[in-house]
Order: sequence, then structure tokens, then C-alpha cells
Amino acid sequence: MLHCLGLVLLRSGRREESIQAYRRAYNNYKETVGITYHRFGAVCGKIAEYHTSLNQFEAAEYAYETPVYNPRLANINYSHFFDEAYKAYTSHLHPHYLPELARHHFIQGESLERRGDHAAAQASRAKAQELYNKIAPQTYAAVLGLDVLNALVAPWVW
Amino acid sequence: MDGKPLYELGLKICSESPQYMLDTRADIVFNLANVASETNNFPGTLEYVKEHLDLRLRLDEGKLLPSADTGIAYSSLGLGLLLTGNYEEAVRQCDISIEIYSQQPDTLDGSFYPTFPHIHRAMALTGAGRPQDAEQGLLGIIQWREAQYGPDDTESFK
Repeated sequence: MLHCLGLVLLRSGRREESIQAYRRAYNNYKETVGITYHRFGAVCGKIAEYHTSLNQFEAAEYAYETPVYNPRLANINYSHFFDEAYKAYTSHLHPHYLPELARHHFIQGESLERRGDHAAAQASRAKAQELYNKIAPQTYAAVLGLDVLNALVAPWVW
Repeated sequence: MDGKPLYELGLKICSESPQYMLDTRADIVFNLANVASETNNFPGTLEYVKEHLDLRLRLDEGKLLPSADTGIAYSSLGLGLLLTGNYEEAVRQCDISIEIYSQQPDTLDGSFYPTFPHIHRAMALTGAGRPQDAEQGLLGIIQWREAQYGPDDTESFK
């Protein structure tokens, strides 16, 4: 319900109240259904989008998870919320959540672009495009956008 | 572990004595609708929720009032419709659900609040571009839950 309220308030233009509802939904999901539930991933995505919109890349709640240098991850600044979303969408035996995963890679690409990491942003958007082509091979989107990806997922993810 | 084969076996058993196992069949179809909606099978969800409502209406024949199960069947139809993009019709079905619940004894005495019809209605209104009309029903859920379980409860993920 709090998840739903977050979306309703967001779409009503009440962004600060919306993020409060999403934070409460985040805590509720964590304490009830757990962190592998796909809608927990959706809430993580919404919180990540909020911080991206404010350029809060280094906010405590949006902390980088690469405190120790790792060459393999040098160009990938996975944030806490993006990482949690990714885990929620990929921790199942069946690939039910590929549309959510495509959207996840897209918004992460937007975030990486906004913070100036163009190479990582391009890689993330390429993953989104690859998944989109797999999910919707009968359609064609030259430039992926949130509207195209939102059409593939339930409103809870919007 | 995928529960769907077990539900499908249940349906097969029910089909052997259809006139005596309508309620069991309805329960199974309801669960299959939930499996479909939680795994991004939106057209499948719509098929199951339509069958579920049909079964509940048959079970209600001869009763003075529709049952709470029929109330949830209308709410589920709302879910199936909103997941397939038919938002205004989804709102109408959720309104029927809320009306049915309003006549149930546990709703009347305040020991129950129809959460899902309000959630599905709010999502459908958001999809229809009228999120500002969705808030009131959701606030009703919050007020009821706070009265029952206190603030920021973890009683359930609802």
C-alpha cells in the first residue's frame, strides 16, 4: 500500500511526500516479504531515481559500494539501491522479471550519465537494449525511453 | 519451486466433479491468477480473474448478499484489467468490490478493511492519469492499519 501511495503522490507532483512513502515501503518490504521480492526491487529503483534527480550520488543512503579498489569494478559505481534492485530482479530461478531488469539497467544508465561516467552509462543502456530486444522482439525502439519500458511492466514499477 | 503444476493438477481433479467442487476450483483459479500477476503474465492474469469472478457469482446464486470472496473477485478483475491497460474499467470493477465489502459484517464492525480493492483502484486511477483521485482510499488503509497495528507496522506487506 505504501508502495502504491509513493507512486500516487509522485504522479500527483508531490515528490517529497512520495519519497517518504517509498522509504516506508522499503522498510516494510524488508521486514515482511524480504529483499528478493520483485516489488522490493521496484521500490529501490524509485528511491535511486529520486536521488539521481537531485544529483545526490554520494548521499549516505546512496553510498557507493566499492570502498576498496577493485579493477574489475573500476568503472561501475553500483549504488546501494541499484544493487539491491538488481538482486531482487535476478535472485529467482525463472526469468520472470526481465522487463523490470531492462528498466533497471536503463535508469542506472541515466544515473551514470548524469554523474559523468559515460562509458559505464553506455554499457548499462546497452544491457537495457539487449534485454528489450529479447523481451519484445516484434517491436522496435531505436531509442529506448522510460515510456517504452514502463509499458512492459506493472504500474508498481513506474 | 513453482507451485503452478500443483494448482493445475488441482483444477484437473476439480474438473472430474465440476458440480461439487466449484468453491475449490474458485480458490485454485484465484491462486493461479496471483501466480500469473506476480510473474508478469498479464494476459493470463486477466483470463484467470474473469474465470474466478464467474465461479464466485455462481457460488453466490440464491444468496441475499454477495460474499466477501466475490468482493475480492471484482478487485482481482480490476487488477487484471489494469495490468492489461484497461484502467477506467478497472476502476469500475474495484468500485463494485468496495461496495460489496462495505456490506460485509467485518467491514461494518471495523475489524476488516478492504485493502486490495483500494490498492488496485489507486493503481488504475494512476494509469488513467487521475492519481489525485486515488489518495483518499489509500489514506483510509493507513488510518485503519495504524489503529490496528500502530505506526509503520510490519504485520504484513499489504
